[in-house]
Amino acid sequence: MRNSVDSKRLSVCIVLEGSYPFITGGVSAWVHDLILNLPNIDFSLFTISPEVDQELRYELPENVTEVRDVVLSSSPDHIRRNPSKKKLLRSIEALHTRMLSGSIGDIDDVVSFHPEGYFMHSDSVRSKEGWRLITDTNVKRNPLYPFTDYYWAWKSAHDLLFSVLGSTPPDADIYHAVSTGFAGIAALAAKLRHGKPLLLTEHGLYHKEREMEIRKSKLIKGYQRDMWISMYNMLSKICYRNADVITALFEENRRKQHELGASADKTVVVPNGIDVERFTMERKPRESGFHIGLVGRVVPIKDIKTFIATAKIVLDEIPEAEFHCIGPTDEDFAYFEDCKLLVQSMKIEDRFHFTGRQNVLEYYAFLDVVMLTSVREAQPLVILEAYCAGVPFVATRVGNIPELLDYDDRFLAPSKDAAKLADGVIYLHDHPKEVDEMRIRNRRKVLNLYNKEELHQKFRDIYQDLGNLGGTPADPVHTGEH
Amino acid sequence: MAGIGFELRKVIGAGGLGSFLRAAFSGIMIVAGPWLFSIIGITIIQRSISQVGGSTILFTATVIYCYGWSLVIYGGLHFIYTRIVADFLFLKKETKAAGALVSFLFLILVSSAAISIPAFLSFEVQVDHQWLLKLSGILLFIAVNSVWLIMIFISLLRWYIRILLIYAVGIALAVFLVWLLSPTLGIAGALFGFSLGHVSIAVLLAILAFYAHKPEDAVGGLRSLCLYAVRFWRLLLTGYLYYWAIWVDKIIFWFTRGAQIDGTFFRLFAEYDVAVYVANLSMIPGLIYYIIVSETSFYLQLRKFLLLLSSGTFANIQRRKHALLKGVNANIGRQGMFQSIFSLGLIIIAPVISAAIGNGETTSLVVRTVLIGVFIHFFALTLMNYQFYLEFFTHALISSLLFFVGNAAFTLLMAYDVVIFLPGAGYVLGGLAAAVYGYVAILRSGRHIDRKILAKASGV
Repeated sequence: MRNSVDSKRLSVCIVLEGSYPFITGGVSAWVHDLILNLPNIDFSLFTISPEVDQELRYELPENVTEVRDVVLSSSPDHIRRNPSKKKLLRSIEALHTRMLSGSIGDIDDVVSFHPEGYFMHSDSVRSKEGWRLITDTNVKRNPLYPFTDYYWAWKSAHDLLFSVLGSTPPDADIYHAVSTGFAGIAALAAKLRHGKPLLLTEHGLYHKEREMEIRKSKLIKGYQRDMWISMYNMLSKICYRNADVITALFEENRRKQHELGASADKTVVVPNGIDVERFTMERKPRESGFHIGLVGRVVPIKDIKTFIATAKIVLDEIPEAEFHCIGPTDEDFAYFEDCKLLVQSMKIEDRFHFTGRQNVLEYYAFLDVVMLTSVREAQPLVILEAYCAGVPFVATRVGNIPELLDYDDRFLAPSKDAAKLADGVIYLHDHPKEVDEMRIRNRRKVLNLYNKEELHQKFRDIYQDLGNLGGTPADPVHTGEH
Repeated sequence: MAGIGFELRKVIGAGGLGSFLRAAFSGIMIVAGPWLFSIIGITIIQRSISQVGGSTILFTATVIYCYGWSLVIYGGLHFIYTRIVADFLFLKKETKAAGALVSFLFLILVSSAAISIPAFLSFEVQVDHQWLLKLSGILLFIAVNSVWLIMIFISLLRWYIRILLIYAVGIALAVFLVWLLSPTLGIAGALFGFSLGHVSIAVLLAILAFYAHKPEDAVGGLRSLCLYAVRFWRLLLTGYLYYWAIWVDKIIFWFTRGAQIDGTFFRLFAEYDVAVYVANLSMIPGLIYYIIVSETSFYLQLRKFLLLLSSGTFANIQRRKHALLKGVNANIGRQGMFQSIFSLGLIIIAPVISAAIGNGETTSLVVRTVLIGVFIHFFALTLMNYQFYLEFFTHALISSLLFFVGNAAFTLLMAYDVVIFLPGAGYVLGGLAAAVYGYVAILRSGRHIDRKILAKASGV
């Protein structure tokens, strides 16, 4: 980490929620790579975490000047007084009214009356105005449901926002949020308070991901489900409306951003890219067996259980097949145990291997097929890596995967459809000549469209353009204390 | 004490005059049994002392000072200890509550000995067996303090009948010992007998407490005291202010208008002390009504409200909240009517009372003033109890502060003849300020009780 910052260097504050540098994964890898490959820019990290003192999972590059963490679950040690408390509550009330009427809320007023360092967890309930806001919205929206349920839902949702709004991000020339949601709102508050431009990058679509989680959750039911979903939608809309530049990984996501209010002239598609040189390798197929790999963390979102079910079906047809689940197993221990039990119950222990964290290059060299069984993805780098290494791919039809797989139905399957996935694997096993042609075609595609150099250049340009704007995108809002 | 209130309501619920009288008698015994036993015992003992030609004033002063100062020195701690025991019992940790009692008793024994030994050793009274007199005073102060503490523990276990029996035995023993010892040892023997009676009450109560629950983690009890004193500092202060509010006018009068008892630092102001001593008993009917009717109905309303708060719609919660506050209002009105019958009756016959009790030491006007003060004090006390139920600790603190300041300030003005009023006017004024504030605070803050409870539950 750099200790001193050259004042002439551009500084970018990346705002993240629940990812880099504490959690590994696609977004984290992307951020790490971006910082590493833009050494002439200083980066600070403003992270939003669920708990304190998380362990760093990445060695921070030299050009990371600061890491500042906001912990959502903990109460702030010191709370600044806010003389504009009543105005703030009125502006929140007005925001709720606008949102209830269906229009996109504007949070300029809220931010202007909410200084950094002030946390309104207490005032939102203890003050008469705050209480009236809660009870009025309850009476308008949920008069027939238990009030305390509504209260706790309201409180937990808003407390997260209050934590974010009260936090103080590092100073920077540009605020770059890597998702909408709380990270997006934190970055937007920084933009409004400091008059700096806001860049929003989305890998998946934050509100859609949260919606899936909420719909799957057994804890959130009924109107509360709608409330949370609508809140996340609203946060995304606010971020889209206020960001200066919005990047999406692929066209479909860009279209969805437009649907939620992002203006077309602000959005741009910047696909993921990989280090082509690193993944260009000589294949070293093993003498025996047909090897199928899945590169990813052993977590529910990757749906490893479907991968195991696929293995069972494939093994019935191709007895010499071997399956390798390549990725960390320590993120969701209970899920990993379930997966191991499933492998045992299917009696395929000798053919199915959990490798843990490994150098994937060694595996790409001999794998015959790489699979992804995820229930949700954006634009998975692993497909590009496999293509570059000359390994064909079979995957579920989620996120940008269909586009990456040329919409070829032979190798695409609906989520959780192990039989269809197995068909794809068996087809590749039975058509080696076609696979050879695919290897060349896929590699060419990566070289032309998904080269990391281009990705870095694009972001360098975006940063430069936004940096040149200086303080012009928005004059800093006047905070209530003045 | 809502638990015993429900039991007594069941008795009344059986119907008939017999049931009503049984409930009323049980109520009197439970609410004021120890109090009445003590007064009856003291009256008998005073007569025994008079018969042997001893100084009843020295005996009376010793008893008043031991009781009075034990409350103003330890009253705040009583409130805290009550909270600790209630919490332990709620958590079904009775042995820890007993452990806390051990540590508190140790603290009380050591500190009350440290206070009373130099105080009584300073006496230079011209009586026979002076050393026995001093020892009796020390024993009485320590015993009284211990009894308060153990009573809190046992009352929360709701063993009212056992408490009553132990008091009856202890006071009977005291009367017997006074009768036995006073002819030979004089006033010193009488006081020694009285003190031994109290020691026996303390010992029997302790045996009962520790027989029921074997103490555990006594050191932890002291730790709890420190933690609770910090966490519930308002409760601690309320306890002290409340007892000081009750005693401050007496103390001021003792030292400004009172007469010194030879050979001691004791001073008494008989005109007021005697009136207070008798008038306080007038509160008993109201307290019984409060325990059987007001507190139980309030408890039921509060319980319904709290249940609805966790599962009802906002509109229903508001309806239940208004019913709760309406209930408080109605209860206060009804208990006021009930108590006023007794207070008014006593005010009318005040000349008879003053003639009967004080050997001309007090006047009917002073008795009437104090009766009015007790009537108002009763309201302040019950309102404070409602405030504790609703966890309005700040309001309870302000109420007791107003009581103390009102009483102290006005009594000082009277004591130095800045204003001319009858003794007890400060008590009336302070009590009135506390009662009015308590009433307004409950009704005003009660309107926001749902917000306050949820805010507290949210940790903000």
